[in-house]
Amino acid sequence: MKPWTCLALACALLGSTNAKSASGDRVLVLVPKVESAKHYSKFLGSLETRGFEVSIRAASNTSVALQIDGERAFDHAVLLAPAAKKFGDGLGPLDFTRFVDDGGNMVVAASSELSDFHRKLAAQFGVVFEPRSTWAIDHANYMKQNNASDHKVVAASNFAPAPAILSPGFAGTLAKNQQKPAVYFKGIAHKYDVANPQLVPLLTGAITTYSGKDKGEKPIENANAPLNGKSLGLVSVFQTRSNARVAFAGSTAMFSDALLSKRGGDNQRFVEDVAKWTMQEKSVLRETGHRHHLSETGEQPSHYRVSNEIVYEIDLSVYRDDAWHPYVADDVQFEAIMLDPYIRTTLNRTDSTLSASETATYHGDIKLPDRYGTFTFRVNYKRTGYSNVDVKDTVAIWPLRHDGYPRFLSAAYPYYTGSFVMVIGFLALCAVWLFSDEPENTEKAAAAASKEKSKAKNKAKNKSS
Amino acid sequence: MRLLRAVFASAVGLCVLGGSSLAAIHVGPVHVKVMERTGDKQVSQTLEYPQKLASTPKLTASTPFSLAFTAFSDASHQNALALDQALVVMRHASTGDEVTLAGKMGAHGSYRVDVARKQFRAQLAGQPGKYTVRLVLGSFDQGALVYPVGEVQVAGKQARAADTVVYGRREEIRHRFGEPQKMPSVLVSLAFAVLAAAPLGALVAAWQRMGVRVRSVDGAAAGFLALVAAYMALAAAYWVGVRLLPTLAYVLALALPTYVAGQRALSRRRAAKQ
Repeated sequence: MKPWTCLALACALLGSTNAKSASGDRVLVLVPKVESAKHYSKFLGSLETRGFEVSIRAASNTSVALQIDGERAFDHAVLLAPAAKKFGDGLGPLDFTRFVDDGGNMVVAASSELSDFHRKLAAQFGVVFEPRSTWAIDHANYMKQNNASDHKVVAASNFAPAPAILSPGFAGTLAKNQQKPAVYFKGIAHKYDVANPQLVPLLTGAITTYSGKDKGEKPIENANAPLNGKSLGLVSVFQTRSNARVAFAGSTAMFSDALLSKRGGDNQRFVEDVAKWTMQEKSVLRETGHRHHLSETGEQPSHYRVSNEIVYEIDLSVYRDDAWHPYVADDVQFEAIMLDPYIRTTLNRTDSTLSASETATYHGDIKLPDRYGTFTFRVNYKRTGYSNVDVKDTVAIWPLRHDGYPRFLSAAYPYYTGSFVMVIGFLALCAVWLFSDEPENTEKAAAAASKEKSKAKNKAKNKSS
Repeated sequence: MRLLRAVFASAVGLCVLGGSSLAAIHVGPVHVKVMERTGDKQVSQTLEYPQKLASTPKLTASTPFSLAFTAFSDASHQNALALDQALVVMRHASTGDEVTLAGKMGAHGSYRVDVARKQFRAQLAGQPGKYTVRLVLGSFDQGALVYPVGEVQVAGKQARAADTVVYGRREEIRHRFGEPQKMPSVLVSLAFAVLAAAPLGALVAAWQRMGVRVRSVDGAAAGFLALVAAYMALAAAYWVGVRLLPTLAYVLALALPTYVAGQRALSRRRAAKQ
């Protein structure tokens, strides 16, 4: 039985195992010919042992489809056919870009015989491969074997400090007497967009590494210096805003059995790290809940008032080792934004009483700004290698009620006194007017009364006479 | 002496390459020049590997920097070597950014790197500071050699940082709340309050002088006065509690009794006057 047949059989047997990926277990592997999959049996075997359902297809197989009825047919794609000019029945770079836009993850391996298809696909992610037939070359750090040397097999050891992607041996600091790990790389170099934070140059060249032609070939006529050193990318990874992941390696050979099993190299571990990260088996971050409420009453009103004191809480989990774990960090930040951020504060981790909790809760006591308007409460957590968490809430902050402002100001005592004096004076005036007689009116009334009395007396006299 | 120098050079090469095989590339005297615009030499030094620059020359757009050397395949510098890689790598001391300049081959094995005004402006001027200069030489047959030549100070104006998103913890922003309004002293406020109350005293005094006297209290007039006082109390209550609708409800409730009491009180007063 041929080895690749064994591999296919193993795929079928292990197909039912649960994958460790947080985003699915269907992997499409595209190789130049199905037989050539045997060169990658260790890499593909490791995927299967991790529970992936691996489908190996020839690049020219016209039945290959990334989507069926608008649904993704695979969760991950591994492109190990760098010379292929097209895949399936006319699948173009845009189809693979759409696959990633839909949440699919992708590993793209290149070589010196890179087709325009790969070049165009990589350019969509800010990765520009060097011209065809060029190699990453290092005359100082290369693989030595049986007194033979091939300067095109670069022993690369310039790893990005990305602990979310690479295991501690690569990304961390080395212990005393610990040898720096090296990854054997034979292939094409690429430029990467330094300004794009979504793109991480995971493995770059040493100061002695450069991109050039092989020995004996006519060098490239170029007035500029060749791509070299830190700006020479060997393996770069990209994470989209929708948290799909793509890895670009300039070498198919680094995934091959020949280099994976090479002594002195750490290809096995490195390739596993890259594949695990790309296929969302690690460093997948998610927000499981968030809430905010008034700190005094604990209620969440439909709107807040300026200068309210509130509590904001968010729960975060990270996926690794086939399970969700609490995500522990000290740099989760909350922002209250109205066009510009008015508040940006670091949230504190709440001590969890549940030891088996899957989430870590972060909280912050926040005094809202004394500006009213429509604010956005946002936790925009983007860290190299981790999935993006961007949680937004649109919240209205109203001004104080008409009776919510400070009252009985000492500066206003004269005004208060004036008002009350006015009221009292008015009432006193009313009372005086109602309950007292004017002096002039009293005299007139007495005169009128005496007149009436005298008239009455005269009438009585007249009657008696 | 020459033997000692060769041994030392090999040891440095071994150290630089981090354990790779002994460098088989040998470099001849390295001529480093920094020229003034007038043609005067600011720095002109010839270095023997692994000697370093004695000073840190300052590079500007008008002071061209050049570096020339010849590579050999033997320690005795007899056989010139055409290299597959002849680069000058300048690494910024603080940022770690690298600027690479390609060596141009003149005669067989002789290389020259020039940093002219155009190149300086394009690659160096935007990021001034101290740079370490290394000669990176490589050959498929002879291996590699990294020669740290020394340091240079690049003058220029810091280019504006690009508006790019940088992942990581961001600087905290604390909102600056409005300052509380400044108040005068309470004593001053009280003094003015007394002044505001003084007219009431003056009014009472004027009435006494005028001989105003309250006669017997009429029940209807007292009720009317009480209702007017209730309106005043409502106004005060609105001012304290600032509840408009309840206040209006009470006002409406008091309207009819006030009207009736007012009619009776005023008609009695009219009758009393007549």
